[in-house]
Amino acid sequence: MATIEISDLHKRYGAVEIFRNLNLHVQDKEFVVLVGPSGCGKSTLLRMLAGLEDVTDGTISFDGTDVTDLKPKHRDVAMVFQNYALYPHMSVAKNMAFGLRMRGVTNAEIEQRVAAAAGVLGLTEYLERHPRELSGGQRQRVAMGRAIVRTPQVFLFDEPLSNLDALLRVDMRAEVKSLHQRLNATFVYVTHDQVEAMTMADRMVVMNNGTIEQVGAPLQVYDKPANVFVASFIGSPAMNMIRAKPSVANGQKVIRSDDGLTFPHPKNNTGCEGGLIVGFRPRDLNVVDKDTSGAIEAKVEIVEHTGVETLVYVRAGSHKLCMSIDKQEWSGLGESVCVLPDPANTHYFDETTKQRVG
Amino acid sequence: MTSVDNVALGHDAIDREQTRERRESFSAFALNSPAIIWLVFMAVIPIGWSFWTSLHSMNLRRPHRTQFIGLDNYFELLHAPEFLNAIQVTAVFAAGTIAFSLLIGLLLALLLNEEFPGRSLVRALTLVPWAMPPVVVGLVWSWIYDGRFGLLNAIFKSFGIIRESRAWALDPDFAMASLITAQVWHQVPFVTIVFLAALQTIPDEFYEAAKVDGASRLSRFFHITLPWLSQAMLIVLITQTMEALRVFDLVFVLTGGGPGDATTVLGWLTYTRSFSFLDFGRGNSYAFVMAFMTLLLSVFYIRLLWKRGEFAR
Ligand SMILES: Nc1ncnc2c1ncn2[C@@H]1O[C@H](COP(=O)(O)OP(=O)(O)OP(=O)(O)O)[C@@H](O)[C@H]1O
Ligand SMILES: [Mg+2]
Repeated sequence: MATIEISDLHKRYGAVEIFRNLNLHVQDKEFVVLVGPSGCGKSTLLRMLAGLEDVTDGTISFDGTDVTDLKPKHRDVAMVFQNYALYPHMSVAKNMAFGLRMRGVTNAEIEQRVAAAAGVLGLTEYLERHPRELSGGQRQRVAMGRAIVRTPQVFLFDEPLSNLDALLRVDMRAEVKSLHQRLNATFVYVTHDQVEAMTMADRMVVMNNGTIEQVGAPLQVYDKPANVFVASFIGSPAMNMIRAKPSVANGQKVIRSDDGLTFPHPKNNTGCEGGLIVGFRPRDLNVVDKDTSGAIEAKVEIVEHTGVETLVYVRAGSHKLCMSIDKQEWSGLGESVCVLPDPANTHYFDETTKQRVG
Repeated sequence: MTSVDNVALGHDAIDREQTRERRESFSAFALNSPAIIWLVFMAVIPIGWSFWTSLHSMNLRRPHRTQFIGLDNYFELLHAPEFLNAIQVTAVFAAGTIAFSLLIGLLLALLLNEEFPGRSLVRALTLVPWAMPPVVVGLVWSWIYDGRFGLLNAIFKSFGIIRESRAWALDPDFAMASLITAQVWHQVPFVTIVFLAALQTIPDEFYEAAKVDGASRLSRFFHITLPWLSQAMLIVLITQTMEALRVFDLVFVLTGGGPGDATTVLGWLTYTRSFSFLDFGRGNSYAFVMAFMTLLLSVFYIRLLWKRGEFAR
């Protein structure tokens, strides 16, 4: 059992304020991913959970017990560091055993637990090596092994995969995920990689500039971004965003941008009086017939093939829009096409508050 | 030049290429010749000459009786009481200075590695003794130890530790300790800097990982800091051993090898043998034994610590 409750958390470095009034609840055995751009405070938050960083104000509780002022070793947490932090002069086995040794576990039990963890992580044949004799991926595993031998209630990961190559990262993603299922513990995982966040999280916490922008299941966040920041940060390629104002065309209420692109009016009308930001993902922009109602005329500027999909960048009015379609040869560079965002997946945000309005 | 280049270049080109290389290496030699000549005259010839002398029975009081005796000087010194005593004295001096400068230097480095107000000033001040030439260090300490006006006497008297003043450096019980103290004072800055430099390369992540692993302050020191310092330790051990084995200036100024032969270290013995007794053959053989011992000890240290130090990177 380990729930985490962060309430009214403040963090200041001297005059620099990192967090003001941060609140977050993590359920028992949940896999929560903190995601956000560099410098938004993910590591700081994680280190505060570990007890490596002082809390300026507010409380952190594990299972209802206030741990705000507890030392790391009294918190029953394990942490995997970005650069692994393996002790260079100790063998793999010694590295993994260190936490147990420090806690006075008997030698027999240490040996058995290290062997078990090594088995799970496929490290058995490397136990006598030193960290410098391992590949990056193997080191990564040792770092995780060091965490799991102690069977703590809470695991903290600070960008553990960011030093691995792309292929290995995909493998390790799955491994961390299956580790979570096997260990039955609460995971808090920091990354700036939204794909990692999307694929691994039970719930993701999108952070920006020391504030939590949205908390939710990956698809929920993807489908219903709470504000402009989340909409633009999650999803790749990024969402198309166009500034527009409510207007009337042919007797119908529409949203119109300065350069004349029109979009249907959001269904729930609340708060649409001022400026809006209309957003739609590249995947939700489609090529349509010229006479489809609402079709936007555009000119093809760039075509990119990623392999899975083809990205077509078109110019509509003064806007450059990205459209993602199934992989295909596209020869129409410079051609005119008509495109239309899927109305069901068009997002509307208030221009001043940047919050979702429909 | 690779063989592929050769094929591509053809024979004429190769010849030209080789001439060019020869010319280049000649000009490299020519340009470096002042340094090379300097080295030959200032180091190679004197060292060779010194070794050659050590193979002779050569006393300038009887210059005409100089004769080649092969390694006899070396065989004889094994039975010479003055040599065996000097070895002993040198060993005590070396052990004392190495142990204390290592310990004090390490503690000081640990202290200076912590943040505190005025740290950079203290760091700068720590270096001062090291900037002094050994003779000056000797003079400074000879005043501190002085039998009548010395600072040490004044301090000890004011605390009531001693009643009578004494000449510390000339006192049979304290001469060696005085010498060691002065040497340690002189060497500690260097040791501190070496350790401090190593300490500053330890990533914070190690300590954080250890904290999460539940290691106390003390175990963090023994399991992380100390192993990380093994390479620095090697450097300190080698340099301090060399400094201790070749000590001369301090002895010259502070104790003159006495009282009796209580502080007659190898360096001092070499000097008196050669320049007081003018026994150059024997004196030079002492010098070579000293160099050889330093070499042996260095090899021993490297063997001992190198592998472990390597793991720390
Ligand atoms: N010791 C410190 N003193 C002052 N400011 C700090 C300190 N440590 C971190 N910060 C600031 O706190 C903010 C959050 O840093 P943090 O390391 O948590 O970012 P992050 O989200 O982990 O970024 P990244 O993805 O680059 O690791 C940054 O703006 C950083 O400059
Ligand atoms: Mg970080």
